Amino acid sequence: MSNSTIWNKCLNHLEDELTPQQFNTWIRPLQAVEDTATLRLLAPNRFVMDWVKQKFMGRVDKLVSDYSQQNITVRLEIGTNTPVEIAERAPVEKKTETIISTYGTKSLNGAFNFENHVEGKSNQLARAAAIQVGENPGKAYNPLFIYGGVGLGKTHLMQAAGNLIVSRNPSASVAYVHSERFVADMVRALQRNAINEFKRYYRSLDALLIDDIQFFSGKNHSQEEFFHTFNTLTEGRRQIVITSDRFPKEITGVQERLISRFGSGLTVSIDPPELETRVAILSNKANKEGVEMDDEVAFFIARQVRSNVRELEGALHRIVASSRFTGRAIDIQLAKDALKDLMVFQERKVTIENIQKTVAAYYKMRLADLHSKRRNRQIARPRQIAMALAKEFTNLSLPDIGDAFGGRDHTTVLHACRKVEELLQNDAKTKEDYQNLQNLLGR
Amino acid sequence: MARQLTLSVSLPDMASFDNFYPSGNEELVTALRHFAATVGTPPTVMHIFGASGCGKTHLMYAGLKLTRGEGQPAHYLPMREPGVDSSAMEQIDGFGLVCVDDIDVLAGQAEAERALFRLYERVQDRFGHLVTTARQAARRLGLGLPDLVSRLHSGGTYHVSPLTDADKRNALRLRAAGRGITLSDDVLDYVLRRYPRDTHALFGLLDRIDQASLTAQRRVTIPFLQQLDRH
Repeated sequence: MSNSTIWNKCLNHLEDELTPQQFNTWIRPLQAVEDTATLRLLAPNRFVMDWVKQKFMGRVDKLVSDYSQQNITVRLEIGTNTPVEIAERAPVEKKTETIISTYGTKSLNGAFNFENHVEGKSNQLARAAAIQVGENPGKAYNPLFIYGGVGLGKTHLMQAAGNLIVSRNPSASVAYVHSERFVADMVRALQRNAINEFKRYYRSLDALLIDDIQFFSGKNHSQEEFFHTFNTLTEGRRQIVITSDRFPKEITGVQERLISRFGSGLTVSIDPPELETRVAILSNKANKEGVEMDDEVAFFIARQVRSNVRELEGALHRIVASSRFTGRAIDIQLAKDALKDLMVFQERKVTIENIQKTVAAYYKMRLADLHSKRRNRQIARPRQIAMALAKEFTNLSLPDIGDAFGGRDHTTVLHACRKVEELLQNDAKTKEDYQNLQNLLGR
Repeated sequence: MARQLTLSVSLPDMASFDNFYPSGNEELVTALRHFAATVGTPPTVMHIFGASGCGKTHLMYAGLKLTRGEGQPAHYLPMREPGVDSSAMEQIDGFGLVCVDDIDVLAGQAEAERALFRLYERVQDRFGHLVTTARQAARRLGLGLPDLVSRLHSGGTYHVSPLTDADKRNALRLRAAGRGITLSDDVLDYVLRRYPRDTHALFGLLDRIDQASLTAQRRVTIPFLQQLDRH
């Protein structure tokens, strides 16, 4: 029996024995090399090699010996076999091995793709742009600048674009780097007198994905270097994707010439996902974890965790762990129990008084104006927004809300809520204000 | 560098999952055991919060031991300790399980928060696991870096329930049994009536009792404790 036949049998065995994640991460990337008395297994990088040695080597030895019925030595090394096989099995690992060892930029995470990205109103445009970039790197929008609050999926879209580039052109060199890491690597390169190598590396990429660019603030040396990298890449029609927590012009501590370049391609925002999208995200992630979850439960969780997708994911982890621990099916009660620690603060006491104070402070107006009969727009609009927030955040009836705003009729409250809803669709300023107030009250 | 740092902080041999009295924290204990034993699988982070003396550090030690027992690197950074600052986070390498205790102290210090953020990113890149503890959930710590807050909430967030007096009695008995000491009901009553009842003080007392009874080669009785008090 040849070594590769033995190894294939071992693979089948290990696939049954290990979790899919363990198997795909550690075992699948290994490649067997034909040899006589030795079975050489090639790991795509040192990290995989060390891990397999520590965790799985004993088991691998035993299986090889069982299947071969003879004394075959198993040797684990870093390396690659044929390029074709590498491309089929672990293109990302192979590609990024050098990157990790040289600069610490990490591999594209295969888990971030467009198939498992949930589209909603809040991210529609950003998603479409990222797909365009993935399909036509360097041509469609360059740079693509994606901005939005934390945990809304900027990194997911950016990496999905990178993965799409690689899937369409496996020889493309695509690097994902967090801007903090870019700075740290540059400092290290300077200390090691290897700055030219650093420059060469970044300037030779086909696509550079740089995350959270606002962390460049105040880092003048890194900005300088990035400026030149940016120019080299865009002049060579190579793709740059940038993310930030804010619009380019709002980034402070970054040189004006960089800011203007950030905005020279396409700038798209990602907003916090609306309720239905949060539910879809939860269902999608639950599915991925092999967990069944009713819509009712998903709606319950999505109402509790409004802030961002990352925290939604955290809530789901907690609920799944709790379900596995207690052996209970996931229902609303289990979700309530599992999230009670989080809900202590999520279930903040949002009272109508609190909403009124927050709105008055936000618009720099007197609290009494919200209760007054005055109807000029500077007062009426914040009052309408406060009413809409009261409807969203409290369980008060419309007449109760009306009473709390100087004894207004419930139809006035209804009108206010409808008006705000309409403005949220059509007026960017109102939308921004409303989201800021939601966040303030959500704290 | 980081290994030296880890080794310089000695972990009490006694702290393990087996001698942690769970008292309503069973789910947390199971989750942490699992988390420490499955380094490399998502999620990256687990945040444990609760009042001082409820056992957060004990649980961290237990997790570290478990991970080390699996042949993985394990690092412990007690941020409240003098001399441990954000630069210690930068030194961590060779990820397995990284435990950062008392991250409350980082709140409001921009550079320290960013160091923890960078540590999170590095741990994630290298398929490690990060455990953080604080007195509050991450969102309530007053951290100024929203990127960090959302990351700390991306895994499981668990609250450690404090021990009731009855739990403290059971916890003391369990911890003592682990050291081969039998504490009678009378002795436990005496301890809980006469000594401060916060767990740090109680378990500190147990250390003293352990040493003294070993030296004197005596059983632990009320007269023995009274004698101990006189010294």
